[in-house]
Amino acid sequence: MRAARAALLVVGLAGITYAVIGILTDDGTRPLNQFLFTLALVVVHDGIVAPAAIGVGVLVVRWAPDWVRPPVQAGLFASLVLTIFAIPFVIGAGRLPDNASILPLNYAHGLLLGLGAIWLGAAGWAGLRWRGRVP
Amino acid sequence: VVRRPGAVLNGLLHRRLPVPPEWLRRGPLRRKAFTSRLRSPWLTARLGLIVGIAFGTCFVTGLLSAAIQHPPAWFGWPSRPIGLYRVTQGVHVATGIASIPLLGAKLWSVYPKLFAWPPARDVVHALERLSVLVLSGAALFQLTTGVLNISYWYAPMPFAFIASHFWGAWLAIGALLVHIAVKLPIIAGALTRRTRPPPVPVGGFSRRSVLATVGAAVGVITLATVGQTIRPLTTVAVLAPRVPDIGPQGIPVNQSAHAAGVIAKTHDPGYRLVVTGPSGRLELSLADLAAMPQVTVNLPIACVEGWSAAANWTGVRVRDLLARVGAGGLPATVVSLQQNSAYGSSTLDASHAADPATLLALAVNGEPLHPDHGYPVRLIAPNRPGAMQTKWVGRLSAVAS
Repeated sequence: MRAARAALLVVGLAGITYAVIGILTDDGTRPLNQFLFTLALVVVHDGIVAPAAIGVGVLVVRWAPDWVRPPVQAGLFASLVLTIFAIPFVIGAGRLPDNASILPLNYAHGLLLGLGAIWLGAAGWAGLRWRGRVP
Repeated sequence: VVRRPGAVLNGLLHRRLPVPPEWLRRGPLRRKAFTSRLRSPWLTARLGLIVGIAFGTCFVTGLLSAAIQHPPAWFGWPSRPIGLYRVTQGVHVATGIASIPLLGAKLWSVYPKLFAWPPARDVVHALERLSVLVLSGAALFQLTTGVLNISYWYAPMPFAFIASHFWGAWLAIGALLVHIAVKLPIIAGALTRRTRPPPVPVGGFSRRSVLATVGAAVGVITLATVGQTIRPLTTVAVLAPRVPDIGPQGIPVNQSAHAAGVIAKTHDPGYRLVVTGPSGRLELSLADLAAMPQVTVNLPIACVEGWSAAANWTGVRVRDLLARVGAGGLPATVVSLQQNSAYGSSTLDASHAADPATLLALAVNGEPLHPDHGYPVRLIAPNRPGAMQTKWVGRLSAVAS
């Protein structure tokens, strides 16, 4: 265990060092911009998305009846993930006037279909729980 | 008294840091501020293992893609099997997308540790927390820039995507290994010890249902997107960035002829393909090329952004052209009429140049190439990233090996 930990630490630190040198010397990287971009992501995740999700989860645990609680928790998690992923596609800023093959679908429609599928599944699970068939 | 340097360092690293005043310990910093009984080393170790496998998969397939496009001297990439790159890059993007729910759940499972009290017990603890910050920051960076890239939305990224995603991968994987080194005793204990899980609250989630939920979210997000790579799943791919049969002549396009600024040159009646090699130089018109033996092959365009689409390409074998200038068996450079672009030329190594399926194609699915697919002539070769399937070819030059 000791040797494995030491080896992992050395290789990991070597990887970090290689990355830092690369970020500082590559023509395409912008170290300060990348740092600020990363900081913004951490703040948005740790300061907004995670506390909001945990807050909603606490409300569900407090207010939802037993038979409906796990399906609602699972449905909310899947919905959050799918929505976050879909945002850049729904906004569609990457579309180009001369290339219809880029982002060819109606992604708002697609997101609603995906959310519909998630909540259909959650409702089915809740129904089975209500009838006492599954845990 | 003279102390050994090691002992001094050890003392410094483990000296207790001052604890902030207790009245600052509010909100999430309070004792037992987080009440979920689902969080445990049992769950975090399992989620971490899956995230680790996913990130490792993305790292290996990503490095492979970078090496194929910018090969170091020691690296060689074969022309067969035909669809290997299609698979490795499809796996890269699909695994990255599936990592979104995995990373979200992993971060949730350790979220209370963000509010540990005191914030740093000693220097070692502070360094460990810093390494976790680097890891979570790099992980969020890789997934976010990856999604922005496949959605072609570059404005929010004030840096070059390819370079920053490449170096970000090294940062993420390095920080991941450091994190495993730090946590290995906890991980090993949680994955091997046969502990009895604590009782499940009545009517609530168990830790296994958390894993099942994460699995279901991975399934939903994968089904919604992977149809851009796997045709039978196209019908349910409601969030796919690309659809394999939407585009000119039923094939997607990354850069149009208009955007590449080549239309005047490609539609010039004086167009000639220039072929050079050790024994001379050929200038071939489109009619000359059409008069040569034509071959039809079914090959995919496999994009670095993960989508792929196969088509029947018809044209002249590159190896036949190279043989006519005494360059049989040599590698070659394919140069586009497009100028000032990273995609304006590509290199065919000897294995790709000699492959009977490597063509300078004049037609796709029985029709002359659409301008956006590289009219008058494009390169199409097996087992190769789409970015290296050079379009609007003006020159094929053998390279002395």
